Amino acid sequence: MIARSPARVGTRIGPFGAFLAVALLAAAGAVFEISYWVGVPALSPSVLGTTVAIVAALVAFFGWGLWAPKND
Amino acid sequence: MSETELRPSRTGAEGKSVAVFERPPALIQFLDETEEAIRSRLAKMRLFDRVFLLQRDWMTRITMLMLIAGLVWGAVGGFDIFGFQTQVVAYATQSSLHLSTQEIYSSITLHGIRELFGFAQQVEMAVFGLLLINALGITPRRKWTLYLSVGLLNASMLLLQGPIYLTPFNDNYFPAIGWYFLSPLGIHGASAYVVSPIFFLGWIALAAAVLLWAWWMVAHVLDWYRQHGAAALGRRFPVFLWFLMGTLVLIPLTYVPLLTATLWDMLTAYAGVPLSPLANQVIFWMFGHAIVYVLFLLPVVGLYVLIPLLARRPIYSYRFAVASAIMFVVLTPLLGIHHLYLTPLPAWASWLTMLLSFAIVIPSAITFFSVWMTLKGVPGSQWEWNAVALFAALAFGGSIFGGLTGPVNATITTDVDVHNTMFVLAHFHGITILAIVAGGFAFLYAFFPVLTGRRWFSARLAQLHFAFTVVGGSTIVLAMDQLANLGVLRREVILPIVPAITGIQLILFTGIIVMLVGQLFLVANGFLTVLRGAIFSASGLSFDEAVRLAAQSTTPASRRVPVYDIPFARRTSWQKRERAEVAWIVTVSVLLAFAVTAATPGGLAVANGHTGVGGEHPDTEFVTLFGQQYYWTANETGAIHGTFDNAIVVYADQWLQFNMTATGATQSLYIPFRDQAVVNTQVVPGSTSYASFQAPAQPGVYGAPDGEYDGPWFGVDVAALIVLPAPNATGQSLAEFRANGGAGDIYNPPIDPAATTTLVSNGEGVFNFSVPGPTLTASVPSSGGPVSFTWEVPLSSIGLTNYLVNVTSTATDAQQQYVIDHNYTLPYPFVLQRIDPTTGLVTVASTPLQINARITTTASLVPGVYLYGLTAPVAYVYNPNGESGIGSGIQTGEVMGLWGVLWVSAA
Repeated sequence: MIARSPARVGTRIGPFGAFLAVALLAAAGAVFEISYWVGVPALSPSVLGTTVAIVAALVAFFGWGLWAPKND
Repeated sequence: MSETELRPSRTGAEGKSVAVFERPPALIQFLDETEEAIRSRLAKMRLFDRVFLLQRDWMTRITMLMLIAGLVWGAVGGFDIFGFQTQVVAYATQSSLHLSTQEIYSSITLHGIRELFGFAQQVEMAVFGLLLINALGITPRRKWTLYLSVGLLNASMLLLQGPIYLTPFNDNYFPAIGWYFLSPLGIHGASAYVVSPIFFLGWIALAAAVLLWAWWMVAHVLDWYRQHGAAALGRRFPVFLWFLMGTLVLIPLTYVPLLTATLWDMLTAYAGVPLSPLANQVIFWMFGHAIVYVLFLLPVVGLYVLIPLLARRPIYSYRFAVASAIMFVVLTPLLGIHHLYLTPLPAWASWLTMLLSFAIVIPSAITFFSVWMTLKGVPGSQWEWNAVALFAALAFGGSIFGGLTGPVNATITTDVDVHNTMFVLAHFHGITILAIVAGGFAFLYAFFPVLTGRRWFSARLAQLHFAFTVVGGSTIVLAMDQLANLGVLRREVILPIVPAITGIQLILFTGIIVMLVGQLFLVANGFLTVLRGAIFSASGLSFDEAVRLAAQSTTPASRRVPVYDIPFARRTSWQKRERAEVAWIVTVSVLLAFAVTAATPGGLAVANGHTGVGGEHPDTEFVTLFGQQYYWTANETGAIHGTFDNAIVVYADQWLQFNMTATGATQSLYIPFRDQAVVNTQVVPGSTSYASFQAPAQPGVYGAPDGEYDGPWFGVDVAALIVLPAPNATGQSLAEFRANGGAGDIYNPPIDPAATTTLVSNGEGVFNFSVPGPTLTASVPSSGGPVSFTWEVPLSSIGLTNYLVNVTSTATDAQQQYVIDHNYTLPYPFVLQRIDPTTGLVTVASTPLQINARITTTASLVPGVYLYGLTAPVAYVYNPNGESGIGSGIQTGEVMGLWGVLWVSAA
């Protein structure tokens, strides 16, 4: 059955915001996984460059995404 | 009389009139008629009719069959790993194992094969076939080609199980080789563990199946092109079509190397063709890496199809999306060597692969940015959180979560830390469960009503399926990651009994159960849908509207939004939108260049099989290390002279330099230090690997497991790095070693006092669930004194999971009966040997191995380091009733597990 009244339906949080939250959660999970290796002094030099790049890329992802114009 | 009336005709299988001169060949006719006879009979049974859509056209029927078969293999593969993890938890809680080592490793092998190919590859083929036919608007043809492909794929899953024809059935002949089979493991004449040729035939059947499907797809593309001509090329194709075409390019680039490596393995095994294991592995990994991107394109296509459809907006940037497709196709075949960083390949090859592995981040970066931006400006009132949207969001997030650990693996120096550990598993399970499987489920929820003509029966079951998949999948990935932090290797059951490992394994097991239970909701919903679901009609709706309506049956009524297309007038120019894409990709490229630059010096020092700083050091200990199934032999020259099995002996702080070779299977010298750099080098038969590192400053016994799976006794294949006190500090105790945590190596054996510890062998032939056995400590006067320790090998520990007695019978008590018949004595000397730095091992005491007796060994010892137990490997053969052979599989090896170190310090 097709919904009749648009006013009663839908979600308050739009999909852009929801996917932003999903991406933040996913990024946090990945950074959490990688952070262990940065925290071990004997091992961290090998992973530092990649980790810095990943964190910077995440910042850029969210930054450019929020700055970019809408898809309309 | 019309031309049609003049043309003689007959009625074809589908009820359509076919001109006589267009009659299919006799074989096809026979097959068509046979199929129709079977179909019409089965269609009379409601269950078959509803589940297999027997009243529908053949394309719908075969697509449904592929989806069902895929889900069946997915479920069976899921229960395989349930079986494996029960054994891991049993061992971690010091309980008995009920599966043999071969059965355990067969479970992992078949888990990987069934999930990747039976499930994911088959579902991808079903979905992509449906999309292509509908997108091009052509009539599907060459039915029997597609049927043959599907039949071959599912037959390959049966072949890959090995010789299941054996009676009585003996599942120890399932292949315990790993889903990625690194030569020469499994090859007759080249390895102590041999799989049946049926295993290799299974891979050939799988490759043939997928290549045939790709040809079937290409043939339809050519049909479409012939129908529409050059004018068709001027059209703007949907983005997903570019990815579909890309998949068709990738498939031969993926499966032909698989065929090549497999045929070479078979020619070596059965025709004596010389083998270069390293070259074979390079070819294999061209397949082994490319296949994961082939499968990753399933959720990628899912996002490019479903997100614009659900959002009612076009993709943010068409040109960037197409560029992403092209980049995936170009880069994917070039990355295989990043699975071989730690082998003796040239440094430039590893570095170049690292560069390309970072480059492939770019098309992923484009995809996930574009998909996210497609949603920008979509109001909540137009977006419905049905199961399609939920799983699409999961695929989006899962790709980020799993994907970001990819660059960590791709960095050569970090790969030294994580290669062969559970970190690799956390990475690819993040991608497979939370991206690939999620994307597959998004498609399933979207297309199932369209295929079956039935609306989903229960929105609640769909939501439960989603919730359990998220929770279970995330738990699995995070638990694997925590094990990786400890340095735990993949594919191990015989793990150190450490509270942290036990706890995490229980959490991992819980995640697996939650994940599997969650899939039951999908199965239930599927059955209820086809049997009792409301009729789904897309009459008068566009394709997009139909899919939204189908998805809507998984949304509670109160949260539904209208499914109609909404006219869209573009307001923001493509230039403005692409400015953001350019800014993002330039940023990513700069950061990738930075990461590669930072990783280059270290990476070049690691490649060519050489790990560690290297260079010349005084008093270096030179070790020639030879790996075999299932132990190392170390020949040492330098400050310490001698030959040791499964032991590397060095002074504290001394530099070690290794020349390493192997036979039978790839080995890996792996020492997961945390206070100093990890040692992790692959030793490939036919090549020589090198390593150099400085021994820890703390004297003690460090665990050095073989890092690469080399056959069913992999778990017992653990050596010890024995760091002696300096010559002027002989008699030093282990107090500081214990206080400093043993350099953080999780595989260090526990330290127990000799006088009060009883060593008891378990069902796996190791003392006190530890290999090496516990490091026993004692102290004596400098001039020497008596030291005693007690040990026992219970008769009850002798069985199928124990290597101490060969298996010659399928009778469960046969091994114990052998021991009884031989007066409870086995012909292996249980020794006590002193490590003499100038001569090697000096035997102090020796006695035949007594079974079922508690024995106290006493000797007068001076301060020093000793080995106790079976310090030479035991020859093992699995051959019940003469069943083993070249056709069924062969398992032999030399296993050394019942031993340890006795550390005698000066009082």
